[in-house]
Amino acid sequence: MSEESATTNEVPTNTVSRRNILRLSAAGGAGAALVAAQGWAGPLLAQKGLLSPDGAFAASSTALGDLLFYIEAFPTSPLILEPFKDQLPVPKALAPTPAVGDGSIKGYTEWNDPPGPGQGQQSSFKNERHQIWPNTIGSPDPLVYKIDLLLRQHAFTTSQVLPIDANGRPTISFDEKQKTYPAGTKRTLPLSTIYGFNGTFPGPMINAEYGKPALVRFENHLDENPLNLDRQDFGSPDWSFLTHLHNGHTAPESDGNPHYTMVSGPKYEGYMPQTFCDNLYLNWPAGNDDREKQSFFWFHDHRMDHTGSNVYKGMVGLYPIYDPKGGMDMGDERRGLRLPGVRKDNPDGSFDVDYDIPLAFYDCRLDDGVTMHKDIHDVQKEFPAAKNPAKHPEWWGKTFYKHFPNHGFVGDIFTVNGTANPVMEVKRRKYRFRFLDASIARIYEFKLMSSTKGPKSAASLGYKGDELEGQYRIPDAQQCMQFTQIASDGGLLPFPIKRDSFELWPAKRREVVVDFSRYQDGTPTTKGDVIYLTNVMKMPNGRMWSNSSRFSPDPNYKVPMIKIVIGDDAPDDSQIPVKMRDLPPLPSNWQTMLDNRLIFEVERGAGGGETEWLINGKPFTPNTVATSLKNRAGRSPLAQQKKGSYNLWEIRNGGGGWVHPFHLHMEEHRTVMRNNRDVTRGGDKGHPDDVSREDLVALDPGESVIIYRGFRDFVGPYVAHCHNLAHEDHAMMFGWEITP
Amino acid sequence: MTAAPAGTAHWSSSGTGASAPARPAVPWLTVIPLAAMMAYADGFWIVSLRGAVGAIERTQEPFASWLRESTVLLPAFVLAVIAAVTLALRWFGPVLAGKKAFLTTALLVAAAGTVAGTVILAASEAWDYALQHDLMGSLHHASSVQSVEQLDQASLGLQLAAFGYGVGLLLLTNLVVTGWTVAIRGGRLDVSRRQKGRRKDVLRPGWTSGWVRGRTGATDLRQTIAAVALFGCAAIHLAVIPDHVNHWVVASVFFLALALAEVAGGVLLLGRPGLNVLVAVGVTSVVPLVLWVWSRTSGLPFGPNSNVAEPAGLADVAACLLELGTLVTAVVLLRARRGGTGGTERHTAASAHLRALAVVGVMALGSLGVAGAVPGWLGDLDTSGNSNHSATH
Repeated sequence: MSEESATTNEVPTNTVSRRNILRLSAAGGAGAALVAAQGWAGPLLAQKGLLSPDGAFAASSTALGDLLFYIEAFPTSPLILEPFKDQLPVPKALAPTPAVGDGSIKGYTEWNDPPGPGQGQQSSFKNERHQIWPNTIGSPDPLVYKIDLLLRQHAFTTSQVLPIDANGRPTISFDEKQKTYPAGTKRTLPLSTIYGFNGTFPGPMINAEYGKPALVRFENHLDENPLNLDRQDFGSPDWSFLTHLHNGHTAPESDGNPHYTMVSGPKYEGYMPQTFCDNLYLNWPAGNDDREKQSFFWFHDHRMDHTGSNVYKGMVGLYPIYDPKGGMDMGDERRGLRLPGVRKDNPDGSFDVDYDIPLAFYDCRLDDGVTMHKDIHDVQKEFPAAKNPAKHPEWWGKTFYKHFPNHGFVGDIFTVNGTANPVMEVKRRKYRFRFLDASIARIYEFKLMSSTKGPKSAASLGYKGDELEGQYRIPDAQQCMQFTQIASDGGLLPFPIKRDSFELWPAKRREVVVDFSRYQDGTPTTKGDVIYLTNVMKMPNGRMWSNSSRFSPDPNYKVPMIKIVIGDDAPDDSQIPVKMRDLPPLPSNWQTMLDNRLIFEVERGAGGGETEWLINGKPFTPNTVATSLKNRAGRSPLAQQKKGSYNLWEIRNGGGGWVHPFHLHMEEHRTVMRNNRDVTRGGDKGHPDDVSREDLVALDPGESVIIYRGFRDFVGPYVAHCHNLAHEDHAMMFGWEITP
Repeated sequence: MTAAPAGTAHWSSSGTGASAPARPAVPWLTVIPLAAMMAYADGFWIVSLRGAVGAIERTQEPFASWLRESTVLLPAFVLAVIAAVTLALRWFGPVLAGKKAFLTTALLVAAAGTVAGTVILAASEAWDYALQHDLMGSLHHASSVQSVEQLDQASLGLQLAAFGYGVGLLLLTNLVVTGWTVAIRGGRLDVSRRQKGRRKDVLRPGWTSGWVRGRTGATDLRQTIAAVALFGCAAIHLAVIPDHVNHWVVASVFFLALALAEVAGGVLLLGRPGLNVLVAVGVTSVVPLVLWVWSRTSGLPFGPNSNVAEPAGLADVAACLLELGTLVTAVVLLRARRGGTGGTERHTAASAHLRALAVVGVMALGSLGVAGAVPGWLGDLDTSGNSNHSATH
């Protein structure tokens, strides 16, 4: 066995043979392992952007983390037995509060603390004022809205349900008195407890218009529990809130910046019960440049550390914004761009627009009563009444949430405007849909599909575990219509884009026109035809998709979201325009700014239970301005920008097989480079609407995106953060500021 | 094959006519591949575990980290494998006879590699925890209902769990890697080899107190160790120069001069050093030691941060240990020289294996010091930072 004995004591032929066999075996084994790894792991790593030396380590770290350190269990929601029976709720516009009341309602001038431009009039803390009152920019006084934060209930479906387990088999269930029901018992879901704007989910919709400022008084009544509801174990534990109009061009005090409230106003993470704040939305484009006008905002909670749980608990509202200038996009299809919409001005000062429908997508999980509630927030005793870690059979059928999901949080019931599997009857004409992803982490990819056999439950098709997410599949579905995308986060595109499908990332908005009078092959539709808005992106956890059109499409993953039934004919004066809103120009020398750009890398960093998500290696620290990574000029500048300036910022995905929807407050940006490639003359194939203005950078694994940003009109601190809300709540956020 | 009596060092007849007992030498062709395989395989898990639970400052560019750290720590694995084969040599003799001896030696090698890997893993986890602990202190959560202590405990728990799993992974990996490496070498696992180029080892008197072997005039072990230690110190001092250039050029010049002196001392030690050389080596070691103690206790009275004590780091501690070792060796050699016996010898019974252990140990310490001297190599606490918001309206 030694070198010596090998050359002296053994019969050479036998020795050589034995040694060669050993060598060949070792080499062959290694070779086979390498080939197997390439064949099996290669495509998997490529899909996750990990097919690189660093990626292999990231994949290994992730696998270790998943296997050894971050083991989590989520409940399987009961199966909705009668999908597509509940009508899609289409919200009506909220009426502004009159200046003077009429006996049934107090006018805002009669409030104890009326809103106004004076010192101390921005919130109940009387220590703030609005940075810009509308009259200073030539706008009228704002319309005033009042929205109360209320503890209420919500039903995601009226259908009976069948409790199932992770294998799709019928299982036991419980009620609020912890009575056990045997497997196979059909049940009616209990109502889920919500924290809602005016007590509804989604909350109210404010139809706004450029040139008409809106002041919204958000008043916290979450301490009041008139229905004696169990608050369960999520939502901000002190019932505080903070509202962000995503992505209004708004002064810091009205923007819902979580760090701003730490040093101003309440000087706390949010506004506590029985306090209010007046968020003033000027409905005024950045730099008063019409090209900066947007078309669809939403408002949601932004309370530090609990944004995800508060949003998941219901704090979502809608804010379409129209542009009446020249009638361009004022909700009247007879004028301007003639986008679909028939406007009805209401006597109460609001207006509604028919055929212009917001669709807020939200996924949730309902408690199965047997899944342990356990995360770092329990250790921190935020919800002592829940006595976690514990199972909660009394919460069976109500929303389940995990604050700190190591794999991210995704639901297995998909809802639209608060209703699971809704049905909607449409006229044979064009519609404008305003898509919003209000989910914690789920990304969707939508297609319009038809089917002869219709949806089947995933459980009945033999799917198990994560494959049950979405509950239903349409095995025979085929694409039948196209979308015409007309807007993204930043408002109307320069030109419409025909799309077979499009992705919707958390907090992203996409607006599309769909012509329900004919199919994509030109065949007219007929009354009674059924089309399904279908999600074809499989996302088993909050990390990223496993299958989508861009990466390894799964032809079997077609989850119906809305059943659309073709109805009667209706007049249609709308058109799909050829040209819409021009982009603000880029400076011709923008590439000379590359060397001095600010660089921010979002990354996962383990540490201390819940500080897992960092930017440039640091957790969010409210009172600080972040520092850029070293740029090509060798500098690490602070994230401070002069008012009125412009700059390039780079946002990098630090890897690890995660995607990050990265949101920057205050002004829209324009993507100029993606993965070191100039995209100003045409978007990346995977991101065709890079040629638009956005407020959210969609970062595929390992991607880097360079954006051009302006910093106009206001001064003060703002934030930028990942809009995977589990990431945001766990420190993937940084402060930046505009200086005078 | 018949098992040789334990502890014997007889070489079997080679059939070449050289029948005299030969002193066993370190089987580098066995040691280096085994050490390298275990260093890089264990490094993979250590870096991967860091990616799962480590401090974020140390999780960037994992591939480069793996290459760098595994290479830097290779001497530690070489040390471990030499220790294992030395032990096997003592137990089974220069030729492994029988399956038991063979398997035991293989297990010894894997275990030694695991011990090295475990020590490195523990140090890595401890460093991660220290960085995470520092991070906890700057968290906004400190002002919230969540306490830093709870986050700290969670971090510690995670690191301990990672350590536990890591040790198991390393052991399993080293067993597989040892088996594979032995297999790819055709089943060879040598614990020694016969020294080449010598008819036999001849100890001849020298002026030093050690023995000088053979016609080639091999250097005294203590001289070799001191010389290697000086080279290690020089490498560390050269490595810290770039970090000092920006804020204190004088220090850079000092480190350059010191490194040159150490290289010169090392080269002279490898020859036939006279009294002056030994004194010079001693001074070269004493001066930085005194300065180090001064700077780490009360702070130097000059320089940009005068009278401010500097924190100790991996590089300077490693350099100090090497300097201390050099100093002690120089003193011992001086005393022997002054003893004046000239031809009186105290034959060191160090075998080639023990010599190699000592020299590789010093090299491992030097290598660690160099790695610690280069910013970012073994993870730096980033003190650059954010600043407070200044803008209000």
